[in-house]
Amino acid sequence: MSRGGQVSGLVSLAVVFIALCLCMFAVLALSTADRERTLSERTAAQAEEYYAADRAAVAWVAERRAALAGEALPEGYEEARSFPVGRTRTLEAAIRQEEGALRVVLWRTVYTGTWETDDRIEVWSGN
Amino acid sequence: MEKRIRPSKTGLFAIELLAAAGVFVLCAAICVGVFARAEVMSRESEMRSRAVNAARNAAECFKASGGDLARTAALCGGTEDGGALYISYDADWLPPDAEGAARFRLSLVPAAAAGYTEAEIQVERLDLGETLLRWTVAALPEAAA
Repeated sequence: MSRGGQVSGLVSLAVVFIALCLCMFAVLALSTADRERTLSERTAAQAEEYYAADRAAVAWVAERRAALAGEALPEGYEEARSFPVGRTRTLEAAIRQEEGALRVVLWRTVYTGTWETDDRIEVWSGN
Repeated sequence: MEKRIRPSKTGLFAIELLAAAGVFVLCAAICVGVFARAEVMSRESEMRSRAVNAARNAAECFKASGGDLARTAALCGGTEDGGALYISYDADWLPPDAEGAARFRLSLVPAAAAGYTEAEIQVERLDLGETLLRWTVAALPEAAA
């Protein structure tokens, strides 16, 4: 093969290689940005769901206080209720009669979705 | 016998270079568009995440204040105006240095309810007039005790 043919072949090979690298990086960049967008949307949705459930729980506490305002409740009288937060979490709220007033004693979010342990990779043993 | 005319090797090389350059330019043009699209998506994601953080901060301050606007303003900053709280942010989601540097604004508008206080939190982008998020949060009065 002549030297000119070798050079033209190498140039074409280099151009193809550079074009492939460019395409690969572009796909990676787009894929990463798409995952970032999905994560941010999911985070925003979860926060909105939490505050909607929180609002419902606050309304429930206020309603129970108003409904039981005139009653002589025993010390330690307690009521509890759960409010769904999306599909996998629940906001648990509880009020208890303490020192003449119904006080909030529980306000926590628990995970209620299914979760399966994946022990294929040891992430951290605690040491 | 007619002498056969064969194309020169230099001409073939030039044609091949032109074809390779054309393919490269086409590929580069498509990839640059994809990179630009990825950059736009990344900026939108960052903007959404920052808006969520700002709104969450304001919501927790409001709840910790028991629904009191003045105490909420003392906790998370901002200015009260017409019974509402406004917090401005620049392009980096920091307090703006100058008056015209505000790019985003969070507004917290409280409303009384039976036995508690509600507030609508809205984060909007000022240059486009776009609302990034809108929440309604509630606070019990005992939280301020």
